[in-house]
Amino acid sequence: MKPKIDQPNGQSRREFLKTSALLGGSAAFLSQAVWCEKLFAAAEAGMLSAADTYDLAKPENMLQTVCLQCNTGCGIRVKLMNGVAVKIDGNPYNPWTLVPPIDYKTPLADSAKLEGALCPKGQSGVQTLYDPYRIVKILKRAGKRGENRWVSISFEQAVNEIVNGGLLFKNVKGEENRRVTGLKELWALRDPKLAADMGKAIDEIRHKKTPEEKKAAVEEFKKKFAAHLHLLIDPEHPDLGPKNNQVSFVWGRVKAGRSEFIKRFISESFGSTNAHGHTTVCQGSLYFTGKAMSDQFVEGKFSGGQKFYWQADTSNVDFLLAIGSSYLEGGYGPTHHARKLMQRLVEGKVKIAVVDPRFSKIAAKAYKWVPAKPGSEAALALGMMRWIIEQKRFDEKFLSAANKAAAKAAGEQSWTNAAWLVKEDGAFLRASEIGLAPKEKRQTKDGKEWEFDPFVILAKGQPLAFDPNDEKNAAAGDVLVNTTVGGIKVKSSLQIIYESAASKTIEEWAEVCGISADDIVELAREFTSHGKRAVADPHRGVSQHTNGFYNVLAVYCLNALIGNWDWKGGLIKASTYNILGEKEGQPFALGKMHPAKLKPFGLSIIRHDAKYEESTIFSGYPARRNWYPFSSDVYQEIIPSIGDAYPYPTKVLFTYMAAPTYSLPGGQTNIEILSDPNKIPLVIASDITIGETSMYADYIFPDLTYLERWEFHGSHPSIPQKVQPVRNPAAAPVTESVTVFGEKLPISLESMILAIAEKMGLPGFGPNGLGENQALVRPEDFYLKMVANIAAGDKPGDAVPDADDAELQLFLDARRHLPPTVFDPVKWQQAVGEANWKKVVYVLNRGGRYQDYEKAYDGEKFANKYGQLINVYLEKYAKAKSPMTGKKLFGYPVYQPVMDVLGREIHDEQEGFDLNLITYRVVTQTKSRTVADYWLNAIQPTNEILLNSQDASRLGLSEGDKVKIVSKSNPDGMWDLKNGTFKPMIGEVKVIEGIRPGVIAFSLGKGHWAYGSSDVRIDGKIVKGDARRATGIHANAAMRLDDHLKNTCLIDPVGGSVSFYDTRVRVVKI
Amino acid sequence: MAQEQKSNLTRRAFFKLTSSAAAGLAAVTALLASSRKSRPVGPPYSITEFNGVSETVRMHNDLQRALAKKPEERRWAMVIDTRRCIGCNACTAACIAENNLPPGVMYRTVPEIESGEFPDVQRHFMPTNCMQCDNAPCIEAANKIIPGAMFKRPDGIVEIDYTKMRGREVFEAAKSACPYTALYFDEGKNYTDGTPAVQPYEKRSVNEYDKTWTRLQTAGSTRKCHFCTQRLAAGQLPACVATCTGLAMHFGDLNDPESLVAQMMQSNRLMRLEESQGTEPRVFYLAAQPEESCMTCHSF
Repeated sequence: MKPKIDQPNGQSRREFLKTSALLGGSAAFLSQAVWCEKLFAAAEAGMLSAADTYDLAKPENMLQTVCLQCNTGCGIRVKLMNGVAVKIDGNPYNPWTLVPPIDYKTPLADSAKLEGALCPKGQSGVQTLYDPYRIVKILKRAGKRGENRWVSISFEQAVNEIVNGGLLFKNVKGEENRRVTGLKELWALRDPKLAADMGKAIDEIRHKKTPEEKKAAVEEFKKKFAAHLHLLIDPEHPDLGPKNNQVSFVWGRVKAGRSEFIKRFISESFGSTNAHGHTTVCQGSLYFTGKAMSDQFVEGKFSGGQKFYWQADTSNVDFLLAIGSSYLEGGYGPTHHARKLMQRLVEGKVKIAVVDPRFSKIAAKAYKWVPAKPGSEAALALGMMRWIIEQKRFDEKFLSAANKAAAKAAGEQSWTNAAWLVKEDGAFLRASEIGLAPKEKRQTKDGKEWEFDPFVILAKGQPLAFDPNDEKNAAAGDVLVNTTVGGIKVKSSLQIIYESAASKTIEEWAEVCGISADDIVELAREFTSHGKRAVADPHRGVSQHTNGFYNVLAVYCLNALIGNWDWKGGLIKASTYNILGEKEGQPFALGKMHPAKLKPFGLSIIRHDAKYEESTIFSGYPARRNWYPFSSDVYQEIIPSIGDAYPYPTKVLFTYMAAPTYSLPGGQTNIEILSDPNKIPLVIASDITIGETSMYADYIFPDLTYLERWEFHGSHPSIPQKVQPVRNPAAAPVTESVTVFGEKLPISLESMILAIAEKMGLPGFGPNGLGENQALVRPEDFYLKMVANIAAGDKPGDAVPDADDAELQLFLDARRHLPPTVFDPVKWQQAVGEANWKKVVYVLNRGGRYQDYEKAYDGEKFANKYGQLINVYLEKYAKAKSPMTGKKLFGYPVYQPVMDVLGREIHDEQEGFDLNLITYRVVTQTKSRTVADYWLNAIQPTNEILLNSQDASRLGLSEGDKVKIVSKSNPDGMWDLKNGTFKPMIGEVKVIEGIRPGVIAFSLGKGHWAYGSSDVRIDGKIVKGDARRATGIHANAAMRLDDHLKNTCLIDPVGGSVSFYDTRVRVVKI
Repeated sequence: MAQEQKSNLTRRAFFKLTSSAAAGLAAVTALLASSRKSRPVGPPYSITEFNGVSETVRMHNDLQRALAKKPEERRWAMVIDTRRCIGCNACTAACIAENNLPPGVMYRTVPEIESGEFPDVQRHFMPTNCMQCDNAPCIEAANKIIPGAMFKRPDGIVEIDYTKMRGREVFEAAKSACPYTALYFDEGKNYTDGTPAVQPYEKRSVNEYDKTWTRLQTAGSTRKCHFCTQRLAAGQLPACVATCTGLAMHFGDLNDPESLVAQMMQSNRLMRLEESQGTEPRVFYLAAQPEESCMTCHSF
């Protein structure tokens, strides 16, 4: 069959849509909406009849893709009218929007009239796509950083300048003689073998114990690599790595696919270790507690923990205790949470309790609201645990299972280390230490020898040696042990946790929380009254504190007491189809398809995955800044560390979809650094508008929005099915077309990277980028292979069906509005080969792949199980030291007050800062990037400062009063934009009952100063900003800075999170 | 404002409106239908098992049955379960996008109120739109100014003839007759007016009341919810119903005893707004404790 592609009404595909008038603001740009004008004229002339205008129910006018208005990533259906996206609905194949979704095998045409739910942000996506403030050409800075004076330049010029460097800003006053180092020069180390050898040698230096040994090892290194020392940042400190590390790539919201594309560029091809995400500004300490708790004992070490977390199975949970978890506003919702929870709520099947200082929307559906003090989450969990343990209302059978075999015998799929014995020094007792069993020689996967020394439990009072991964010999131990074994004092993990819980009475814990002891007892009783169908679910409100890591650990340990892991209605994890071709039967092993892959080495700019004590720059405590041996993607560290040149200076910074100046607490410190070219010589931003951070860049490369491009959104823990939603181009690109590797592409992140690679001759891209004669010259050369992997499934026989002729035709018809720069069916088919093509179409037609709902469960058990060891006690942490204090970390849940990185308590309330500032999410905004959506602004035009009526009376404030927020770090209550503009943090007061007295809150997403909200000058002409985009308050600049770090907000030094909820402020009436 | 309301209220609760909801509250004068008050309290209604077919699918199938009948044999009704409404305004946004509504026009809103005193607080969300009254006061008021401007269709939907109902006078007349603040005047504005470029999606034509209307034709007219006639004609549920995240919105044919809405009508908790005015709305509400929410501050 020969599929045909219809042209819409005989028009040229490309003429209909050029919507941005931002550049130049000239008459030419203003008249670019050719299609619209034509349609408008035709309509006026009465040429459109009813029959041909309600097209939105026809399958050829819709495409299935994935939302990115927030990180929930709901499946969407984009509906087009004459090639313009006009309406977005929920994709009925996708389990986020329809619960349960329609059968995956439903023919595409049959699905056309049915839709799933979608939140208002998702509905408003066309306004992110067709934002009049979108940029379509490269902008180069023509004034000082942040001054918002730009010139548009050609793509070729921009690529040439950033690759080759030079006197790039000689027209800017003060920068006449500033020579910028280009990327080419910083691509110092290029030989993969040499990189691997140096990396290995540096590992050896790291593991030398004494300073003398380290020094000798460095000398040896210098001798061995004498010919290559010029490639290093500092040969005296080779562990800083090669000069390549002086290029950093930092991203805000990135998902799989693009993440691999970026890492391929910056890490595998360019060889920099500095590729960092933003996790810690979201809920980093939640992820990194999940990582710590999911470490497995492999070949003698606790390792392999996954950067993830568990969430309640909201489809089946009977008691949901939402702690700092805003299910119906943020918290990876609301769409699927609302669909699942509200129906069961009215049927009386789920009971909800909410712990949150603000009466959130989920609180409105709860039987009980507990407005505990911000930062007291661990205290609450420890209080509950004390009661549960003392009342013996915990699942002893679950907790006693110490290995896989015991879990199986107990009818469980996962097991904990609750019964394992721990010595006074914090390490687990090993069998050889008490002569219980000898060490055992074992082979690693790579054939190396290692020694296994069994762990020990007390089984009915008798020591028993065991292997945590043993599938045959069950080890079930006593769970509360405090004794001496073979002369060594030991306690079980659960005993240690209990003692932490018992360090205060329930009344004392209640006092820390600012609630009553009865509340703690009632929550504990309710929590232990629903078997395994109860979950205490922590989110941002728990993790984004200076004590975030231990808060999350406490809440997860609370869950361990009822053993709800891997049960229907309990704690579950996310499952996704592999995109990288790592599973048997998948056609494209993309991770291996690189001709000269570099393995980056050396310290990262955020010092993650590294211990201070092991580095050659160790110089006693405190370290200059914190180190993160167990966390990564520490967003607040990136720019401030660059500012401090710690551990080394940075030459080039790329930002992608990133707005740290806006998103981070204390974001103004990032502005100060970014605006100084001496601190960061070259800043390149990939963005869709001139945003709060990209306005400080030297070059802005326009990017495509989520509706014009590719990505693989993955899943969230509360989605029980195995899934892989596929974001694919649904709307024609708005940016200009350019030629890269001989291919015409829209300007985007991918074309920027491809062009830099082409200019530099970087391996891994180009006609042989994926291997001999395997091209990577277009984004789909990469991404479609991932779709083919999904289509093949995770095991042989798991493939999706072929698309039939009708679906193949529909696939083409629905893309008739896409220009060949993004959709050329011949090139698409070539990217995956004929054998995979029809399956790829099948997946794309459905916007991804989704397992049947029933397959997620096996009776009462969760089939897509975690099924491994859960660490309630963290030996690795108990053995590690804080780089700031030199003190050992805790390996178990504790309550800690608000502290700076040096462990000093902060009590600004004693200096008159009487209110605790918190933030929250409204369903109508996603932090920095939805203010362009006018429909959302129509629903919620601004934000306010929420204040309890008791505080209002006390402070003499009434509804609508304007107040300024000031804090100890920001006594003027001002954003200093470092361009001569100061933006005061003034907002309107909203007096409510639904917030704890003493706490004030503002919602994220408003109070913009860029993103089309203020004037910019392009090519000498002023583009007026839109005041509707500047409404409300964004008070992140009031958030407390760390007294030691000075240019960074308060942080959780263990989990890495930023603190959003620990600042004390005062409000000043204006 | 809060202080003021507090002092004005004799009841224990005081109420606050969100800024965007202020306009809508006037309409939320909830009344228990007197005929329903005496019914025994029991389970509100029974719905399909969660793990079975989604309610959306069920209502979609109900709709296909209704569409197979003659228009005059259908009896469209909307049942809104406020217990399930999370105030997300997905419906509001979906409606704006579906009907290409300009600034100043919202076919539906979700007013929100807070009641109680810390820590005994509650928030209530109340989706509201044109009630398609069987005894619609707006029709009479509009037709007095311009005959034929508004009329009741055989399927019960209250229709506006955009070719006739033009200008502010007729709008004001109809608006003041409506107890539900359901009518809006289309001033012909665009959301992207005053930005670097008005965007094409805003200029598109719409299909309402089974006809196509250009922006020029709807501009200057009175506008309101029509249960998404274009979607019904195509076999689709109204946009607000299809997209409702908490599945608070229900729609269907009351003449079909098998339909979900007909079964929900068995509930003892159903009520209609401004029942006493005799408008006979086609929109019904379910609330957990109506006397605790809307009715605490509004008399009936």
